[in-house]
Amino acid sequence: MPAIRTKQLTRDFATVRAVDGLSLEVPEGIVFGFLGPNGAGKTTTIRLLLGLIEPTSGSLEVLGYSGSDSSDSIRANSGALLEHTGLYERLTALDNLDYIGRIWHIPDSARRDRIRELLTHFGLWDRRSEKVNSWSRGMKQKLAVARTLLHRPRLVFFDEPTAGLDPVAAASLREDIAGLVSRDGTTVFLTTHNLTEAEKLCSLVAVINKGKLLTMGHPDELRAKTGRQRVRVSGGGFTEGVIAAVRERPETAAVEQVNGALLIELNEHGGMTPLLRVMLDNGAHVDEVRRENATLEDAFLKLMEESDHVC
Amino acid sequence: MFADVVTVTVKELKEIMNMRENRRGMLLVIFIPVILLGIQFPLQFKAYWVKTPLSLMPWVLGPVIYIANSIADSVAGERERHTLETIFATRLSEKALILGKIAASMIFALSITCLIVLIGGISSAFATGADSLRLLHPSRSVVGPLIGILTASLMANVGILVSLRAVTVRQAQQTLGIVMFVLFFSPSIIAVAIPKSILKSIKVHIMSYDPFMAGLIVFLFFTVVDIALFACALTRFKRNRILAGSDN
Repeated sequence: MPAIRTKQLTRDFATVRAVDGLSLEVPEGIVFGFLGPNGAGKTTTIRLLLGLIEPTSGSLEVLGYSGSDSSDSIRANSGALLEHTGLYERLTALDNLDYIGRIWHIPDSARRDRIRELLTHFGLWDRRSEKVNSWSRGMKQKLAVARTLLHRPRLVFFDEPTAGLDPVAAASLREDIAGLVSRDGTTVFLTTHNLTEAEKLCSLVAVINKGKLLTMGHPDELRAKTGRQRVRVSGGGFTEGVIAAVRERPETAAVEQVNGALLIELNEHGGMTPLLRVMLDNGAHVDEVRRENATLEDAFLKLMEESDHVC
Repeated sequence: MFADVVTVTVKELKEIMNMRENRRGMLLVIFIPVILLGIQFPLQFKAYWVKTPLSLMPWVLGPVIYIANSIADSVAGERERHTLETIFATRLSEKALILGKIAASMIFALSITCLIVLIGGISSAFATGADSLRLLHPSRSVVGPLIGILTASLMANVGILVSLRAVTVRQAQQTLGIVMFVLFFSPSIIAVAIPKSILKSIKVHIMSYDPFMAGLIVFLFFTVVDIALFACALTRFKRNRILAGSDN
């Protein structure tokens, strides 16, 4: 049974269609990356999945519960860190977690133990009695993550969880998210702008733009499907004439000079041999030719470009 | 459900007590009405305070003042501070959430009102001696708290409804101020506007009723209004309604 299944999910806000016929299937026990630019419909999708707003049309099923009549059960089994930390800043860290623990009906001693465990893990135990409004953004974000995990939910929604965290804290949180899946079998629905993060964490990613699903698959599949091959040519004599000659070749999609080397994006089935010949014929010399894998970011940007072009 | 209401109430009370940036600001908000209604008025009006229904005034003004402050912060403030969506994403029901918010505001307002009445009693004892024992008569000691509870409930429900429409806490408080003015001061403005002869005949008509029955009718009327407002607040305080209006 998939953790999340949506069929033609659509949500309109006045004149704007925020989510447009979204059909997804997310298996249990994975980190699912939901990628898209600002205003793509990611947050609206999370709200729909949590039953916080109703779809205009289409259907959804989360953890086996139907969104139309069991949204209470969906929320009872999920945890969510939405775009804002949602912390009570006038209260202490301990009060914040205790409140949420009581809402989830965690027994007193188990609640105390769990709060201590999480605050210690995130390095916040010593500051547990401080009001949250005096904390840095990173500390608040860590506390918000602790709050999301307090009741050990089966499904966790993370909306930009590493935003505002320093690199060390972000890496540590990524480890935690990976651990949630491998250790507890939790399903994680992750939205992020950090494509390197998505690449590291997610075993399945979907890209959405203007409410429409553009593609879905393993990051490797996406890279292979949408990312162009890139080649870095090191050497010398890359004059304007050489670059212009390379650019004119049908094998070339794009070319630019970066730190003295030529970075060439090849068209589909484009080979390097004719390009090297052009370079040498125009007086350049070549020391090294290295093929570079397209990143998820390349694939993402290409998808966005195509999507904008179609729209 | 009851445990959830208690959980929300306790958290809301903690938030109310920390509403102001500093403790001095909070004490000022609490104690200005305490000094005015609990010390200044009883000492100023002396026997008039004890013998007339004027001593019931704190039971009306206390809840109005304190609930107007706390309920706007509790609903419009939560939305403004982006904590409402997070709490909506939990298993907590809207009913428990709204009941907890109303209960916390009422407990806060009525506790301070009780303190005002208590201090008022002591002040009256200083000003009028044995006459102050009149305050213990059921027409004050029973009717007063009943008025307090009804006023608090009325204010809390109106506060929820106003706060749900307001964009910011400030806007909610300003609107509540206008509502308060219309609700509590319009009768006296109307009384001034009505010709004295008509006013006199209304007074004679009212006085012809049995005071207990008249009081009971007023009590029942306000109870029905409170229940109707609460039902209306419950209908409006829905995840879907509130979040559908926010940005996507």
